[in-house]
Amino acid sequence: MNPASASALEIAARVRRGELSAEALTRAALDRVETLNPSLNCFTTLLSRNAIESARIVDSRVGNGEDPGPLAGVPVGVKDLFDVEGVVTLAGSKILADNPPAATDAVLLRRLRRAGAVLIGCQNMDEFAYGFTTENAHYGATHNPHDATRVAGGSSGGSAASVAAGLVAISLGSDTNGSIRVPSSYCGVFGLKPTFGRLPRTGTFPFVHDLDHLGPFARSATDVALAYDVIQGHDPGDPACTQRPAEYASAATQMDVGGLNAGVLGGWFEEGASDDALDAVRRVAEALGPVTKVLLPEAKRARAAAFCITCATGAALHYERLKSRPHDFDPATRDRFFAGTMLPATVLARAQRFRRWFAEAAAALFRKFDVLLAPSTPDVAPLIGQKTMKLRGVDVPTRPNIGIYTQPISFIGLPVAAVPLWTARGLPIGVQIIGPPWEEARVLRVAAYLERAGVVSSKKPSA
Amino acid sequence: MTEQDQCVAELVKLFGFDIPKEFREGVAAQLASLLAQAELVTSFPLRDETEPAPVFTP
Repeated sequence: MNPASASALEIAARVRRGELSAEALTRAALDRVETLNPSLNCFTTLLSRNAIESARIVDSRVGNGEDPGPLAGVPVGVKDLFDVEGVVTLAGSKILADNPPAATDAVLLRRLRRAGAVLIGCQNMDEFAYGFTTENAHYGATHNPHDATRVAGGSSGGSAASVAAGLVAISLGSDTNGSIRVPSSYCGVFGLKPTFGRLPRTGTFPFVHDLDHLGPFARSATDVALAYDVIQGHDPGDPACTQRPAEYASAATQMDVGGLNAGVLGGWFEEGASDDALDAVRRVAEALGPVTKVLLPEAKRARAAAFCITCATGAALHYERLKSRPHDFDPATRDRFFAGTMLPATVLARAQRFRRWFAEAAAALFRKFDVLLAPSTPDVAPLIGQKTMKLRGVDVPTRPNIGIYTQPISFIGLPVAAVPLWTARGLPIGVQIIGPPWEEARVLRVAAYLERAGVVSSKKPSA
Repeated sequence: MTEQDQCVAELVKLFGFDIPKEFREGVAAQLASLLAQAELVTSFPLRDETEPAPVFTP
């Protein structure tokens, strides 16, 4: 078994049976990080000593006949906005480096560790999660493992790239406007952005409280489901976290999808898309049955509303820091936050009311369709430093246009499985499998079915 | 100072803080982009009864 490409399920099964030592696995993962991280720049903090200690605890549990947990010995990483006990939570910033170390782990990290996972380190991101490229002015760009001249996507770029490069088997990231789905697309891995409120954000650094979601990345749909099942459950520390009981998804990933009615989102979701993006959606749709094109009305306006809420709410969060330390921000986030301080309150109030209208429009579509399909990104990963990109032949600024297909969906909190496909150029591109609220198990069932059918995969096809 | 820079400088005074001069051109460009998106939001007709989302539970 090659731990760099093995599934978390396989790694944990072998550790649990005593066939593999968690310590040996962890040392192998750390060696790989030492070799590859200098060029990829996935991690901002490595926790080597702590990781080996955690692995030894897993091994001693196995040796004592205790249950080491469903993620026994699985190497994992977390985006650098998750609190890690004893580590300063940077959220990709220079300003927060002055903060004291976190006193406890974020709730989701605690749940991962309780399941036997071994934390390797904290992963690079756009400053304060405000970006789609992980070109961080303070900590450098994360490079795409499939083409080092390209971005990994963002803002959870280090998390997705670490999984794609085989440095960890599972990462946790966050998604406010697309920050799990975009790097999933660019790095060719699976990701889950659950329903808003499903997973508690306790112990993570916020960006936009009414848009922030957390979720896992992995190299297979079943691993995403496994990680998701381990981290589910209410926590009172997050006021937005649902009281609904956990609804496990792993069993669903083994089921067929017969009779499923999938709709392909047209209009806004195809207007700027590259041929590669449209082809990826077509391949997924055809594997699920007859292709039906549907319109989610006012998606462009939904993207605009998410854009405005994000800019103004993020600016309000960082207001004191903007006033006192403007020169310490990443220029890419600073100017947008300053602009956000000047957005009239009327716009924000209208955007929140439009959100209700748009959620009802989506609910009407889900009365006819079980899942909706759309590209995760308009095209494959752009080059690092690329200022403009083409949307159907028209030059537009790169950074603000990467999330045009993800923003309308997270705006209304729908669950999405992001699945990877491969283009003839040898680069990955993602498709969003979008479900109605609380149907994470359904979107993961579809993702796993597509993976079994050979339509989606985190493995680059051999030429 | 361009007209846009001047506009930004005047606006932020209302909020009781300043934006360093060297950032104003970039901020003005971002504000223009933001206001273009805002226009899409405010131009949509909504019924008076449409409740905002999200809601909170007291």
